[in-house]
Amino acid sequence: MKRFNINEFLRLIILSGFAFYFFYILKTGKIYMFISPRMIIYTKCTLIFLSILSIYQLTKVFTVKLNQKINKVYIILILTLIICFLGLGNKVNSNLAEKKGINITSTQQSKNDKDDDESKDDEGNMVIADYNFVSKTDDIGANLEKYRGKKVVISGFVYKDNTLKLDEFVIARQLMTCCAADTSIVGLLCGYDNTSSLQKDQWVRIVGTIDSTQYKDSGSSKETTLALIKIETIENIKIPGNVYVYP
Amino acid sequence: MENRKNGKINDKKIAGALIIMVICLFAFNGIRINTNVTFKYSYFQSFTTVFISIILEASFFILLGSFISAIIQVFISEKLIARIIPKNKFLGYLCAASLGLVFPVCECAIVPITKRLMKKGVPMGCAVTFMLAVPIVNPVVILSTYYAFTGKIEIVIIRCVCGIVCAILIGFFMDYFNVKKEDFVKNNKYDMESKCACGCESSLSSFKTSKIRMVLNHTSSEFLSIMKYLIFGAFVSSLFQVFFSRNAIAAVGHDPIGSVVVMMMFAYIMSVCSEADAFIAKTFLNQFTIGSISAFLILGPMIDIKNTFMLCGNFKGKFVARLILFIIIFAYFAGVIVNILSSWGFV
Repeated sequence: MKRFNINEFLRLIILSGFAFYFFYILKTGKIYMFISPRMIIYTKCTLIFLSILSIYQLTKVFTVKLNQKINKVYIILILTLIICFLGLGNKVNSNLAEKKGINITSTQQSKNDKDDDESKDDEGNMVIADYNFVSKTDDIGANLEKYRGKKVVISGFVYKDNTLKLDEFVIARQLMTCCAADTSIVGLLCGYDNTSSLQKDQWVRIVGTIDSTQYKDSGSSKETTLALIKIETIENIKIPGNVYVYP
Repeated sequence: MENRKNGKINDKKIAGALIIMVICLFAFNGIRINTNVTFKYSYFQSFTTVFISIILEASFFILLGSFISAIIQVFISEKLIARIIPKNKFLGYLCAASLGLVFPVCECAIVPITKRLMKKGVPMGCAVTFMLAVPIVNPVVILSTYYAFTGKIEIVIIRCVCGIVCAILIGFFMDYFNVKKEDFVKNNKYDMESKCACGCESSLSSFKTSKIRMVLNHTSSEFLSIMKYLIFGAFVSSLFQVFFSRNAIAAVGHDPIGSVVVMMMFAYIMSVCSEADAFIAKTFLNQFTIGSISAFLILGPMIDIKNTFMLCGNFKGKFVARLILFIIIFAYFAGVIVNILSSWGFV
């Protein structure tokens, strides 16, 4: 009798396929497109475990089995593996932003006064980088008066929607907590006369002064004060290697 | 003879699936042409990115859950379980719920563990309480909720207290309504297969199987079995994420009853891991009532699309239907009560 078990062989393909996929995305750094850095350690553990299971599975392939019907369920798993490998060519786009809406901190959300260091560039402007994007935009939104009149440098992508005025857009970044499925969009309102010339999802770096504006939420009747950056200079930049920011 | 019959049924299923796929393709194309909606390639990219990320994130926890389940299967006997479980029912529920505080396991991993515990003789009510409480009150989730809602410790307290109370009540009622004392665990193919493969119950084995081999066998069987449910769940959840606009539900945000219902539906569809859902809930803080956010934080860890598929694969349909019904009822009441309390100024 042929000592080859097709079902065990398929299981080997699936287990080792996933193990290889994890190894590949960890090695090439593509994993950052899908999950947050703090979850990387879990993926490494999974890789080790799956490798152990695959090696063990190898020993079970050359066993005799009476019923040689292929278990159709394995096809779904193999299809998923194929989708995973196909997805390696993905570029992060922000069309999910339209579906999720955007979160801009308003002065109504009370926050503690954070005494943090501000990185300044040559001209003494406050620079907002990736590592403090979330905390700084939150702080500016909630403690507007502390920052009024200050100049600031931010990079992000252009977000426009029909609740905003024609000369307003939002400079936005995608915030990832755990994985790409839970991303939300954070940013600050910007006022710029030439907003119509800006394309959605275009990556820009802006220099502007912090001011404020009134915003009426469609659901409630009250008006809230939101921070608004009056743009002085705006320049296009290349899309960064890692588009996400983390809390 | 039996093989031939199985083969015929399997071929019919495949043929049916293929026909449905072809019809879907035509319908899809028809919608595309007639409504002028452009299904851009970027949508497909977003879909696969979200889909892959859910699978990547969850695989570790599923592997962990399968491993723990295998350990329980091999090393913990029914007699040990019977000795540990408190005789007093009420104490049993409290025990099960408080186990959640030390078990840092998320909702994906808890399903195989619970099934294994039930098969080993843990009473159904306690097992259900355990399964529902662990994803809500485990230390990682409490920390992430605290971190997400800085300055609002009351949300953390509401989540823990309501979570434990709901878990105990649901477990109790599941047991109370189980008049016939049915065993709800589904014995699927993999259990039979792995029993033969381990050689522990089959006489066909030619070598003695060590305990380590048995653990490895069970782990890989359980893992592959659960993965297919995860894949279905991730698929549906990703579809919703890409095609479903959040702004559509913003309108009902301030209604004390409607907001609770909408947030519960949202929690079910989003299928976010309980470690991360606090951050998602926070983004709704302005537009939605606090009761609806509480309901979101309670229902999310207990049940969602991903979880439903996994439960259906491991437990009988009647069990899953009753469980979902009770979860909806109690999460709804929790949300509404929190809204009432907040309107009185207690929250």
